[in-house]
Amino acid sequence: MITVKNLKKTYPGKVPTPALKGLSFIVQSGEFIALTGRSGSGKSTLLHQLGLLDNPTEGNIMIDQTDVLALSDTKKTFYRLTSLGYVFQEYALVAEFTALENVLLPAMALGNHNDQKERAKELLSLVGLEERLNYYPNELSGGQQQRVAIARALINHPKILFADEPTANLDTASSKTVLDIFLKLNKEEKLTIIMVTHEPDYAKLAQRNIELLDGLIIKDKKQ
Amino acid sequence: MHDLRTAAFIAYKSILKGNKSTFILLIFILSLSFLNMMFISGILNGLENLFYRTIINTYASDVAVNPQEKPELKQFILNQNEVQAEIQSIPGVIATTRRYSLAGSISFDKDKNGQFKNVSGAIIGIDPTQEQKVLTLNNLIISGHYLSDTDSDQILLSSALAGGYGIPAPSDLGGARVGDKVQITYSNGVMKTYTIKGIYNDAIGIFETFITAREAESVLNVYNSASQILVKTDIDHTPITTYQKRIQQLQSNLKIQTYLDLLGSFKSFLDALNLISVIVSAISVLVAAITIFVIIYVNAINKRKQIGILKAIGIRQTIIIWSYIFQSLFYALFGVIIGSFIVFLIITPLLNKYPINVEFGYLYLVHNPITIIGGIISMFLAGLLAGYLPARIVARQNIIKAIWG
Repeated sequence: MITVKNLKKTYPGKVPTPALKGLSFIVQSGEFIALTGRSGSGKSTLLHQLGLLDNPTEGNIMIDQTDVLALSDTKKTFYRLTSLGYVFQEYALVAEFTALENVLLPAMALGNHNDQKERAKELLSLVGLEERLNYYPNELSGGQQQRVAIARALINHPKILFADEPTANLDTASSKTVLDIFLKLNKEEKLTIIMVTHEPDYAKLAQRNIELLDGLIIKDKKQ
Repeated sequence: MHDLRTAAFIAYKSILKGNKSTFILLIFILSLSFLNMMFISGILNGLENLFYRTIINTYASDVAVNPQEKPELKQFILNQNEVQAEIQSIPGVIATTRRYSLAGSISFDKDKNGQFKNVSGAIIGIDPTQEQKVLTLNNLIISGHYLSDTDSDQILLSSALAGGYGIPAPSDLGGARVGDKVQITYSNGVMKTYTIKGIYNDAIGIFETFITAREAESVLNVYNSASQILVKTDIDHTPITTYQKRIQQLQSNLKIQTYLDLLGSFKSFLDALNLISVIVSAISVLVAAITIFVIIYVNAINKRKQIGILKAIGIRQTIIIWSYIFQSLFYALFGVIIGSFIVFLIITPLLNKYPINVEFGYLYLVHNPITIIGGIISMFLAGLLAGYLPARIVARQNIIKAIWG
């Protein structure tokens, strides 16, 4: 369960820019949430704070009773490695690694390289890339790369999967494949998923839609 | 441990799949840096070695036995035949020779018009045949002939003192040549005329004039004595100090010096060579370090987004930094291997076959293990530092900034 209390983020500068203006909400385990809103509404900023990629200016985030913002940088990194999965808009694969190596990398960092090789293959099979294990990112389509990124995000059994506009650069068919994978993971693995999207149709697939505007939640609706 | 393994794997893949041109350029520059370091230090070592060889062979020998200094200063070693025989009996002693040291002024009237040019300096009395077993003066003759044991009115003159050979000297005789007659006025007042029998190449500036020991005894009015006994030893197998100690044990009243004690003004020159070698090596290491730093930094900057992503997915900063350190260490290793191949398997054998002919001998590349190990360690330290610093700078960046700028 994620409990967010009075979360604020202001970007410093000559004129400080408030991106999040005191958000509070709770995410139950196993929920699939779509974060929507116009550009600049603060949805990606919120995802970065929840995913421990950035430090909020104020507020509190508890994940399963752990005050994650109080963790040291090293512990945050370890927490990201062991408990959080992240899927970026631009696939974000390591160009020099094959699909299998990209998926295995977080396991290797955890010291589980050999044990997890089979799981990596299974995950790549889950996302339909069992034939592309030894392909390099530049030999894969955008949709395939994104699926490798999903498999990588899942390798260390995360509690929560964060996806930042995962379909933004994909065609309709690839987008559907990615979303089907998310739905399957959420349904079968009970994986908590928080996905930022611009697409209202994709947002409807989630169980809950949190809509932001100017750094505030304007709608929080179960679907 | 798995941090290092992960870092090594990232480094391995980055090198394997990285830009080949950058890789080749980097290895080329690092090879040249190492080659430069080894070549310059090899040349300077060779020069130092040549100087030592020249000093030992033409001037100092390995060990010099001098007259008693304490409690009373003596002018000569007495009963030199017996002393020489005793020294000669020490295992490892190859040969000995005695010398007489005199001082005097040499005068030469080149144009036979009563205008004498004078030079003052040391006049050395030698046993020519025995001398050849210890020193190589006989090989330095550039005009005329070496002395014979029975010569009494002939001398060997330094090319520097003769003048006109292009070797600088405080003063010279203005062009004395073989067959010319010179007059020597010894410090004890004896005055004699000699014919120049030979002129030796005095490139290192000995500035000594040689007569036979027999002639020296006649001038000094002594017999079976010596101002100095020079000893040639097998120093390749036994340290010079061992001979020094053994001779001292036999002749406790005499002053025993090694060639190192006799370096005189050459010592500062050799020290300067060492200093130059260290400076050149340091510059080479610095160039190598800066090269690796720049390339790793540019590489890290170009991969800033990837570094951000690695951090975002939970890869520890230390793994990222180590991956760059491993890369730069690999570049350093490759640079050392290729540089070593060129310098040790191509240039050194080539220069051993065709050494550089300098004024006083042949110059070879001489590598000593300490310089080589020091060079390799320096390259790796440079690689370590040059990999660490840029990786740390980039890896410390905020994740969001690294990924999205």
